Amino acid sequence: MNNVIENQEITETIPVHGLLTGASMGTWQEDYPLTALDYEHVKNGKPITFNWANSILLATVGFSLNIVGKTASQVAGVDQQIFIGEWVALGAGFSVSIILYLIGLALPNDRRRVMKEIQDHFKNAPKQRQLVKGDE
Amino acid sequence: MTFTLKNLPKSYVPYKSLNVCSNTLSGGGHIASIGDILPLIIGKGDKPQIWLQALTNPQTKQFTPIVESSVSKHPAVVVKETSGYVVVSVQGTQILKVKAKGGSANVETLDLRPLGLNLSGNSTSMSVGGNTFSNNSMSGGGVLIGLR
Repeated sequence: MNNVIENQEITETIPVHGLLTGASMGTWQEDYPLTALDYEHVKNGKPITFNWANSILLATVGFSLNIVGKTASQVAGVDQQIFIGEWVALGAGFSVSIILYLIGLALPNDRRRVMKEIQDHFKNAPKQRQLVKGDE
Repeated sequence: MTFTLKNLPKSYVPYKSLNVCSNTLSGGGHIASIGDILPLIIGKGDKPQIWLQALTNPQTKQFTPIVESSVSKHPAVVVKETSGYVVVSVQGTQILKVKAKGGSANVETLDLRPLGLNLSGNSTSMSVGGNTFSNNSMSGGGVLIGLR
């Protein structure tokens, strides 16, 4: 299609096809070179003690709900005793999970290291806006 | 903000006569529109006031302003004023050259291909898609070519 339109008095907008070339404007930033090892670190790099701390913390919270129930019964006037051993178990649960969490903080954490590297990369790598040619 | 036929820049004042690559638009016409969007608006001022919008998404036909009132809004775009001409370049390629004289302006170079539009021309003709326009005239406002 190659029409020549010349010396015309044009009164209405002339519709044209193929006006868009497909080029567009985009923002460009360098990729983070994520290796398989980095990926593995992100996936499994957290110290295992965090998982243990989590499990024990959840179990302790569940146990504390039991004590909440007993306390509620006492408030309601039902004869329900809370033994000293139950408080000891509650305290022990929280203490152990806190200790495991602190140990996890002290252990090398590959996941956090890789995540920080990725974050730094995207913060510092220069961004460029440029025109991108489409398929022509 | 995208400029359209219904949403023209506030400071836009049309030329009585605008010559675009040998085609004359009198009474405040525009060169091209995609739907309602005007990729290029040329208005009157101390120097020709140019608004340019580049395609950011060909699928949704989204545009972003890259020149407003002849001021570049984009690091890749340079607007220069030399001996009566306003010249716009994108990444070193001249895409628009406009000269004003009195109540009229003359577009001598036009190449919006780097902005995503198959619209180019020189002082003798303008080519759009597969069409060539030369020495035509349009009066009473309106848009010369449109993609619907």
